[in-house]
Amino acid sequence: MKERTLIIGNGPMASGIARALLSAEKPILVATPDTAAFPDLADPSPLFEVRTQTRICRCTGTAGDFQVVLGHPDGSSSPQDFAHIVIAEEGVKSPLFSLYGLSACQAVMSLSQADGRLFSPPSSDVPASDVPAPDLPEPGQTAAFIVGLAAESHPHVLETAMETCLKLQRESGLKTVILTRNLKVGAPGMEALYHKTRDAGVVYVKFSDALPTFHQDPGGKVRIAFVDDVTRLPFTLDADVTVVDEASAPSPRLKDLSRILCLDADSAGYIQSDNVHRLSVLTNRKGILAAGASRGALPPSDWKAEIAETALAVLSLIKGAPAAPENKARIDAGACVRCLTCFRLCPYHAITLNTRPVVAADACERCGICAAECPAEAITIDDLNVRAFSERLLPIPRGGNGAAFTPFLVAFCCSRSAGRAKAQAALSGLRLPERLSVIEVPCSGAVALEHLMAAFQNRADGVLVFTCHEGNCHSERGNILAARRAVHLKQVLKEIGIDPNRLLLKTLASNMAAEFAEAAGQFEKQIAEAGPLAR
Amino acid sequence: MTTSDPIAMNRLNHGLFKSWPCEQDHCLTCALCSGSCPVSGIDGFDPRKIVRMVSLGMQSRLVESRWPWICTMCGKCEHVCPMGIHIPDLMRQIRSLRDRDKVPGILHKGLEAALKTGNNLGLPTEDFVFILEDVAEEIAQEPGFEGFTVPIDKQGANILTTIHNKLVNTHTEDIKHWWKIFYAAGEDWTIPSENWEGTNWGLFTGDDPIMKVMVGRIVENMTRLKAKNLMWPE
Repeated sequence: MKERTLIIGNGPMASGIARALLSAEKPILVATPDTAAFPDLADPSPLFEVRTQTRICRCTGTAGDFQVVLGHPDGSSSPQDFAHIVIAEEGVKSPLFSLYGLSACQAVMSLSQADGRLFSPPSSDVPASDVPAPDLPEPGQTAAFIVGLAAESHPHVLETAMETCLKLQRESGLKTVILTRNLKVGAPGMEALYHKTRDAGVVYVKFSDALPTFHQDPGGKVRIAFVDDVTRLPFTLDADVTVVDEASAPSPRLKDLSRILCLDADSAGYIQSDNVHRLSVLTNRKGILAAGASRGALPPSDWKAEIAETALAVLSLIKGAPAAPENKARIDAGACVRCLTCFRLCPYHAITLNTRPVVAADACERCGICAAECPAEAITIDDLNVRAFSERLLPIPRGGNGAAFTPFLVAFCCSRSAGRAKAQAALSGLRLPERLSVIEVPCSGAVALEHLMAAFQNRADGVLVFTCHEGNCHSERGNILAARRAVHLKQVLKEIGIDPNRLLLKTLASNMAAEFAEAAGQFEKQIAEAGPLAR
Repeated sequence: MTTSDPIAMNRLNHGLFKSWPCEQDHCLTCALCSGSCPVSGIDGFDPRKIVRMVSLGMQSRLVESRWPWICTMCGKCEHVCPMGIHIPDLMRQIRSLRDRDKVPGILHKGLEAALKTGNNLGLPTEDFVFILEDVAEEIAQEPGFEGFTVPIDKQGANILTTIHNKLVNTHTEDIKHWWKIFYAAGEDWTIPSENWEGTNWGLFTGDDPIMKVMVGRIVENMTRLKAKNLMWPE
């Protein structure tokens, strides 16, 4: 089944995406290591299959054609074909009682527990029985909410706390107080929600320097003592109920998934690196998407949009014809020594191993990192090798009367950033060096030592390398690799008696036309002063 | 405001002042009010603290505090407040909560005199008329104003004007300017001999019933003297 999508997860996000894709009549398989799957999608559909107690063991192939080996509880495994993969594992929440020296009890609970424990079930659902009703707080009692006090919290934690307070104030007649540090109302709708809670009588106490002290009595109730930041007056608050916020963390399953599927993760462990090019649900691998708490901490109010976004991304992947394999990386089997440098470095996991490294043309984004780094020079991308640039490396003839020295400069520019900045600079009529030859590459990671040396050999008086800012490289590490090569070449230049300042590396964004012109202009001045490169 | 005993937050009624149309619960604690206030810092006064105390429902402290009486009600705080909190109105509301005999002395005495005699100074009518006529005589001696007189209690005048009590106390010179303008313009005007007070200190003590009495007297004067327009230079 060419269109079948694998959904990894077992919560509202996975079931939401499954439902959305089913409504578009796309076949799916949901896999989860849990023993039971979400019940709400149990209706039999020939398009829908759930595998519980199932792990992902291996994944090969590329977008539109993944081969995934599923591991079953009896130790057996089965290979399955999928067009695309969606990772939709839920996040985990851990209550922060210990930060405040509190212990969980009837009167002290986590934010996730609060909803179930502070509200009485609808009376119609409660059969008359001897079972004691839950110990619900009474009207007039006080509930204290601790949100982002000793540790920063995410806006969605505050959102949940505010919703709960609002309900308690309006429906249960409780007095609620939110103790917080920075009130994060930056997310959509949060300021309106904040005002609603203020109107409903929720009291906010904000802290900047000194935090409150907490004393929990043997019965579990908490006395909170603090100096109010605004009035500078000492207060005590006796909380009949204390609700403590939680830290959001990625599912521990993501670690294995990230390793098995070769996906970049961010510092917290979510399967989406901190790279704007991955927004909203993309990963470094084409055809593999990360949704909801698998890619970051998302407020519950965003879940609906996230489900729609992910389903649309899958549908557009299904619809989109694979790009024609034109000028993608090619590995010369005869020259390859199977060192696997390319396999390790490819940010898109477009190099697969089949007794020797093979480029998956559909997944290759032509960043050129493999070709630039291959120690055996076995990888080529036709329009990115030095020969392809030979004309652009030839010195631009001097204009004018020729009396003053005008340096010949070669600038290697990432086409996503500096290439656009240069085009904008030219359109805006900004002054650019008279003898500047610009060579655009799909990624600065393609600029090999060979390219830089060729520029100097072709009588360039100075060479510039413009990369994307750190953390903004579409190929994740291309800019870092380019910078590393520049440092290396500077050392070489020094050793062979050339001033290393004739090579300049700079990071730019696509909207920095003025900075491009300024950097190029300054470099031209500096090289003009240094004089022609003696040969 | 000094205190060492902690305040039990549970015992405060945070909804106590909800009915005041002042928006105090929407304070973001940005402190623009404190920064703009010309009397901020006097005895520790800070409008932001007042807004917070009102929002928390700290009634007894607010009523006992000197702070609401330090405020000049100039309104700069309200002008800069990004949340549109009506801070001067808040101050008035707080002042209105204080027992009337605990209203600060000068305001208390002035208002008492105004209620009893029609003006804050407690100036008898004959003294008032004497002062006005004395000022009129001085004007009549100036070249170009020969024959000037002050039209007291004139029926059917175009303009009736009130008098700020300081103008018949320490600042009599200041009356002359507009009287001269009336004379030069040939204006038909009058001043009532009773209840001529133009100030209304009920504004400052948060006392709406008194404000109503004071305004009512001006209306009575207008009706009694059948004046067409009111000039209320306070």
